[in-house]
Amino acid sequence: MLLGLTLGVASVVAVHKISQAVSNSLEAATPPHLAGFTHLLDKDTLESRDYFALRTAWRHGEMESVRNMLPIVEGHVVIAGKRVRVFATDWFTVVPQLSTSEPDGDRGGEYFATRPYSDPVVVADRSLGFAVSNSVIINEQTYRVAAVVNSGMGAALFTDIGTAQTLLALEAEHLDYIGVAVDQPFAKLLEILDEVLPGISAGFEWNREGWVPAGWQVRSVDAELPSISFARSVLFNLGALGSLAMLVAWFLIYQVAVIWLRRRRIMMDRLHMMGVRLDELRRGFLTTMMALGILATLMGLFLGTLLAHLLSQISTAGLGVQGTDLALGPWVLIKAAVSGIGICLLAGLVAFEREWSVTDHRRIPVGYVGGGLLLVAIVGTLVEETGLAGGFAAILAVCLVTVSLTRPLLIKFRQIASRLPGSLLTRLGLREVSWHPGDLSIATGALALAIATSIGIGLMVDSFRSDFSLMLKQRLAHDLFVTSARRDLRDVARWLEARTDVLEVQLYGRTPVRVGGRPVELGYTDFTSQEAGRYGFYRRLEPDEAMVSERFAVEFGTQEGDRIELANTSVEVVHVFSGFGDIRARLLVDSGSTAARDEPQIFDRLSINAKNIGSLTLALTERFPELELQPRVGMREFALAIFDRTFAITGSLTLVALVVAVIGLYNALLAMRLNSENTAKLLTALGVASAELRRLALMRALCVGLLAILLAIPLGVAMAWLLCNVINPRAFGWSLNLQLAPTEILVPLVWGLVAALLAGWLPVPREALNDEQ
Amino acid sequence: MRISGQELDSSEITRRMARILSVENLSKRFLDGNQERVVLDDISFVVDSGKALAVCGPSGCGKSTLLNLIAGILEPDIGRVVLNVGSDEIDYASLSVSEKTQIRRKHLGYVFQFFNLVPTLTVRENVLLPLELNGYEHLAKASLDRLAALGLADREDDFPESLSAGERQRTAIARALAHEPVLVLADEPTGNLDAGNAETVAQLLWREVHALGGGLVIATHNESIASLADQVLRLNR
Repeated sequence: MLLGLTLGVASVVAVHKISQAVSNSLEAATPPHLAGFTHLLDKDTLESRDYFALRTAWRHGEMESVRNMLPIVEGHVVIAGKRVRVFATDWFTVVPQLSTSEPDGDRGGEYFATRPYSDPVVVADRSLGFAVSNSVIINEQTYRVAAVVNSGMGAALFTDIGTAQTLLALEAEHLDYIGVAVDQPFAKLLEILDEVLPGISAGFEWNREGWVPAGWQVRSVDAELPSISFARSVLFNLGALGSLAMLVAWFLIYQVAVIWLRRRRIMMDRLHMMGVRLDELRRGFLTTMMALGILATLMGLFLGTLLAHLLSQISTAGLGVQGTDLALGPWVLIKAAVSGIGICLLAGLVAFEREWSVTDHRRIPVGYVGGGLLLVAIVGTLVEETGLAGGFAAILAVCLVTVSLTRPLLIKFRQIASRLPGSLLTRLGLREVSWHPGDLSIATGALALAIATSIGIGLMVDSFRSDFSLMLKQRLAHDLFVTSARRDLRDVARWLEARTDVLEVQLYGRTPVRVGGRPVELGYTDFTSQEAGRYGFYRRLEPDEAMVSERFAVEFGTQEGDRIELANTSVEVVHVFSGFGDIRARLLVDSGSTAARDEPQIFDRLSINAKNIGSLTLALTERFPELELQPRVGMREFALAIFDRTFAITGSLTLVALVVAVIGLYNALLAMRLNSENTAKLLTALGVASAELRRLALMRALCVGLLAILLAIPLGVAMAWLLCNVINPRAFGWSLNLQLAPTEILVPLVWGLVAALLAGWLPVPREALNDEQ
Repeated sequence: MRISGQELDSSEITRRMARILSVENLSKRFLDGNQERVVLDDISFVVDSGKALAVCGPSGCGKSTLLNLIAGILEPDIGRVVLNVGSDEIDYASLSVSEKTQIRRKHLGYVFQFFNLVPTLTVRENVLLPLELNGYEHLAKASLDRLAALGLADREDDFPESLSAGERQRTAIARALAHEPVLVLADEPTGNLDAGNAETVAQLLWREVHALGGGLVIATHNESIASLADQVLRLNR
């Protein structure tokens, strides 16, 4: 009993700590200079007086939803033949979260905030190879390196505005844009929600309306960096599954309470017959539950922390990543206490009321309940207007339907077992599995839920991993990306193509158009099969064909095969591609198509793959200094490192879910073995050897395991499907491609069966026996 | 003739061949918290073929413990239990746990007060269980005939949960005798029955065991049941 409760609390603690570790890992996906910002504001010509005017208006109460704003200067310099990006903001106002890689280095922002502002200093990205206190000469000025960081931007320097303006030879009034942090509605509530269920608030993003001041253009930070939106999606889905794992653990605690109560029922009946009132019995039982709950909380905190640490170490071995820490934050303590004491008491109360209730609960028609739940699941899935609540209700409904199926399945199995051939002992063992459907259905349902959660987590993570690769291919496939302010880059492309060190050049253009009266972005390029393949369409795009983003498809109700009417032509939709969180409705056509030639065609962006991107960058800067160059190699490697680490940590979440499954299985088998303990004693007296009894126990364990697996597989797949195709699109606007990787289904099943065999082998704890035994 | 290395005369041989069970100086203690409690102290008796021994005493005097010692489920602290099967003398002290299990399987029958039958097997299956365990399928017809003689022919396909207490005990008796054991142990077999049923079940037990030529050890606190036995062993607390 105590072991079951302790393991239930431990799994809640472990899931929380691992989810926190995942959340911390993914926070690093946001480049530190943009941490905390939600939007970027700019104007055609932006000067510091514009910023101060905006700031004054903000301080006077305009733009209430804006939490903070900072001026930003960006540019690039050449250091030792290398093009280096420069980023500057007002460090005195906020301390950015730059992660220092040098143990003796200061955190950049803290340095700027606390040291005398006399020496010009910079914070350098690790890739530049500088050490703390190095001196760097740029444009005949000396700058000291205050800190070295992993910024994710590749070759980059961070400094204050004044230093950057000097570095970049800019006017003293010059600014590039303003970073703004806009408050979410219910921000405080979401913050608390995230403390309780790490990662869950990532899906509750609302775009505030009407805060953008007149005359300013706004860009979302998410749209600038694809990895942020992806990271938020991973966080949210893991938060959802972590919550489900917690609910399963609570259900297991309820299961333990039911078993404990049934063991004590005979004694309680006798006390009741002797005149002890029901409320006195209830009080006594709940007092016991509370005492056990307190013990389980303390032990579960210790065990869960250790479990999370060990499992995360195992799953991230070789990645040079720290596992979860051993600290116990306030929310972990609260969750452990709620699970160990609160849920224990609640479970005990519910179990007591059900056990002693006059109403025969078995008469509640399972068909009606199951039908109602299925209806909830269908409505939540198909009716998009039900939103995230509908999606979560659908997941909960399918879980409850699965649990409610266990009892009818057990009864059906009983009918089948009676007709099975085989020895009497075999028939005895098989029938025992289904002989007490009331006890075993709860335990089997809990086990099925736990295995399904493990399958669901595995499938979801695998789907994310696969989509992440696709996202990298679509957004970060090239070494260098070049943009200009509406300048045609065909001459640049010709210059690049003449170079021997350039492997590939691709020109892109875009123009706003209207479809059905609504604005969309029409993008065009030479859609060879390779280029189209980046979007998942593996042949050349014909002139009268188009690909649309998922956002476009949802907004316009478009699917493959539909035709879209444009101003001068119509195109057939041949593919819907995932935008991975891109909020723009996009329509892509080949640059040779009529649709692309309607407007004056301007190719204002191009992507490059080259043998030596560093030297090409320098050459481009010299030849075309007006161009904005975005090295993508550093971003790609940074994103890969972050997500590799994150996916590894989520492996430990799968392991915890499996541990919860094993607890559920042991409880299920304990319930069964306690019911058959008298039979075991009788068989021993009749001369059945202990080896034969063990074989019986194993057979029963395998039956329970197989029954739970039968339910868990479709449930796990359904959970993953709902997360990928209902929850994620409603939260983030894009569907995950569900990958039904056999290993993600088979591994939990194999471990579940192994655990079944082990649990069948373990002895029945003496304290679990009732007084009569 | 030699038995257990001893040279015996014919009267001794006859006496010994009629003997089913010998219990000599049996003592058993249990730890009760930190204290040691003596449950049985220097018990000795014999049971011959076709004879019944009633073990009487108040609750907690060690009746069930004595039966478990005879069955080989418990080990005595002092003394020995010897079972005679045909011409073989089987001293439990020389047997391993699995060997004692085999002895129990082949040569003993057991009837309890409660939980006598396997609830997931039908009446017929319960009765035939000892035959399957021992490979004695040839005794199946005789066992089912015995079941019919006990008035349960029409209940063969029912599960124990649908039987009355008396029907369950009669089924248990049929099961205990199915493999024709040399010794039947009955632990308060009538404890759960009313007076009329108790008398009926006790007499059935006596009759069937006697017909097989085996021995019977019955633990009971019911003096009228005990008076039916050939000998009575009284245990005190």
